[in-house]
Amino acid sequence: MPALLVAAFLFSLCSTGIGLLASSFTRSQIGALFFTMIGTMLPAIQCAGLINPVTALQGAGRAIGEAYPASHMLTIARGVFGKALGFADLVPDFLALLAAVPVILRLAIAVLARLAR
Amino acid sequence: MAAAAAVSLRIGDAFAPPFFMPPERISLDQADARLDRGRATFVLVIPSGFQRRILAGRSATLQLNVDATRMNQAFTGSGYIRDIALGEVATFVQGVRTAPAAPVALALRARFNPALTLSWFGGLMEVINCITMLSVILAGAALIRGREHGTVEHLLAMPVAPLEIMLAKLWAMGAVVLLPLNMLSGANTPRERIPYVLRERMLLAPTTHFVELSQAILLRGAGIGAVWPQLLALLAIGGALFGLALVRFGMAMRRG
Repeated sequence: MPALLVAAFLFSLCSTGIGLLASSFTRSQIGALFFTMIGTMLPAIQCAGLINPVTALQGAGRAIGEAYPASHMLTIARGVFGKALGFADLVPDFLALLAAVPVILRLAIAVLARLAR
Repeated sequence: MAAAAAVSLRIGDAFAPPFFMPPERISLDQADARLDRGRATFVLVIPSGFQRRILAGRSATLQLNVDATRMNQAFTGSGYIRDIALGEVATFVQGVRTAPAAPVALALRARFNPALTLSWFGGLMEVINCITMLSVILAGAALIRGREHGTVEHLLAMPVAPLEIMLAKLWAMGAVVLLPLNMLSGANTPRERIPYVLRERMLLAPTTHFVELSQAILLRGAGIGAVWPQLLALLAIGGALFGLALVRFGMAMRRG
């Protein structure tokens, strides 16, 4: 259970980061809303392993699936709920989530700084 | 990991793309980690001495581990793997591939989508769904913009109560667009599965005809000769709605 809590926390950091990124280069709230909706739901449903396993994908879809935070969150959620796994079994996914947070935030800040100039 | 026996190689070779990813040969202690992390959905365990046992005519057991949290793949895949693995073993033992003669043969022909490609149908229906959803959201966004630009005040100045404006929006979004147009039009589920009265009533909705004619044109290559009833229905519904809106608008103008 603590594993799921930590993962949910990390994942919400990623999600809010993507939200920040979206609103950093869109002009209106509607634009940001649409960007996040299409830009996150599409990879989350198609590439993150929700329908098909990431390992069954090829090419760009596979690359997106391997990098996208939602696929790691999905593995952790399934692992904790369905397979009674803990931190030790899911280390690579936690590391991936942990690594994604600064990358997304850094990107959002960079875009915002460029627009501000 | 011992050297693979001929029968193991044979089973491994039987799994190939596009239905299966090329199988990896792993040792038993690697299996759990792969299943846990979702890197593998199926692990087929061929015990040592398996080939010796079956060649000697004794019974042997294969173990198939399935990650059942991947529900779709788990259910369909395990059936396929069972058939493929047992078929390969039987071929190996007998030396020839023999198809058991069934008393009844089923000739399956998938019309209009012979390879049963999901994306032909699913992708198309998603597009149609997206058009529906986008128009809903755009309508909502337009009203919010009306508030941002101060035009809602004009609406409030008219002889309608705030509750009426709210209910009108709710009615339009929920009752008219979302439920019938999206759920009952045949875009998500075949129209034949919708109860009769509802199904007949849905012929009044433009989306029903739009879905029907897009499926006919894009999936079955239908021409104008096949879809003219739908086109006519769309024209009639569109014309009627337009006329109705015009009359109501004219009435409102004259009253105001």
